[in-house]
Amino acid sequence: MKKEITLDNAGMTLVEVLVGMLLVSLLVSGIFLGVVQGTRANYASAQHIAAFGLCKERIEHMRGVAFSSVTADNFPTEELNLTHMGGSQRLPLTCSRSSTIANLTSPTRKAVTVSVNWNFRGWTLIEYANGFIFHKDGTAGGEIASHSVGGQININPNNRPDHEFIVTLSTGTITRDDLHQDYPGYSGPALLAHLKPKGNGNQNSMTVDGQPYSVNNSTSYDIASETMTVNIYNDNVNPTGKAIGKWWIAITTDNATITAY
Amino acid sequence: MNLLKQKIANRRSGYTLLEVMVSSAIMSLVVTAAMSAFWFAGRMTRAGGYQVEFNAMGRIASQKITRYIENGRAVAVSSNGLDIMQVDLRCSRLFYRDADGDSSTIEDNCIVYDPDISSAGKEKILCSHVTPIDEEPIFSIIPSTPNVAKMKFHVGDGTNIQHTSFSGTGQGYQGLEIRVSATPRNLQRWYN
Repeated sequence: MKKEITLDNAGMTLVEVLVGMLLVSLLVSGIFLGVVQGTRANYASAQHIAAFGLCKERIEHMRGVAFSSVTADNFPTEELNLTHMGGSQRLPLTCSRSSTIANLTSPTRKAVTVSVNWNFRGWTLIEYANGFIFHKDGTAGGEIASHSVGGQININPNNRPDHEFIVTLSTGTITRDDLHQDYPGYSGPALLAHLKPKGNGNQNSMTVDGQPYSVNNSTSYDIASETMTVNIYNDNVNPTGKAIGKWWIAITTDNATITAY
Repeated sequence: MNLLKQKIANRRSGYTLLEVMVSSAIMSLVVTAAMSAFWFAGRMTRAGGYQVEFNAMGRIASQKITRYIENGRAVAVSSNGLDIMQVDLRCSRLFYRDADGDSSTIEDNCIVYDPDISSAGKEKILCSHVTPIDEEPIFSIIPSTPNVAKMKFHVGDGTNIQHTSFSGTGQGYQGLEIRVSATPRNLQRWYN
């Protein structure tokens, strides 16, 4: 009996191996490229969020200043830090913020576009925001007239939520609850005074645009201004402290809005 | 019979030691390269995932903060944070809280909103993993404006240590800088 044992020594050729490796390399390279591009786009998304914040910051700044101050000279192109490039050092990624301002009429307003440009790993990226800045006084519709206000008002200690005294400063608030016996008073800038007058008859020590302005004891007032100075004081200092009903506020401003209700 | 012996002899002819060593070395290089590539891809994927989380946290927080400020009637900055006077004269507050007093442990560094500072227990965390940027204040008023609130903070990994609970992708690597600017513009009257 003759039995033949055969051996299968036929493997892959070098060409087959090389082609196979090439295909696998292409596949893996594609996957890695996708991961890298996805990550890069992810960081770019974060940068767009930061850039839009810078755009909105400038538009809000424009809304907060006087209408005549919204000019190209006051809002020039500037270099800023947008965000960081990562790493423990958080190397800054810089950007350029610029704006265009166009004067429009009927109604009087300014069309503004704020744009932020930056470069990220070979990409030139841009984010922008548009808006209109309206005239705050004058003849355009919907604005609030501003007045010069002076004088003083005796503060009603009423603590009902809609009548309770409150003054908003750039550094905090002063409320009716602060006007206790040991409170030294306050003199300085303020943004908003909300108060209800007190007294037997209507107080008439206020002036608006140089004319006497009678405040009504049954009415609450909001007086708001960018340039207001107030003096909160008590005119009944005595050894037992300052009486709650004797607190006054003196107001001086050239550009205030008054809301009575 | 001779043919069978010859074929058996052929089957026993294997690789030489030199061939085995060379092929092992080549295989080691290939496997090492592949493992490094997969480790790198895994790290990038994880980093990208965390970056997505931080982007979402920052975006949602900025939208909520804008809404809270614009719903208000006036704002003021103090050492406590950003006070927002509401239409009903209630005072709300946005503030930064570092629960353990250690700024390097960022998981508990939060932006918190208190809808009414006169009553406790209603605070809401808007965003965690917060750090100030360049030692600048988080809350401020834009200069030359009376009432435009500005917030600036970083959401993401800390700068000092590598965290394991949420980030862990590297010191200070992931994250984004959030800037929020808004003006209180709710001029409605309050009636009871």
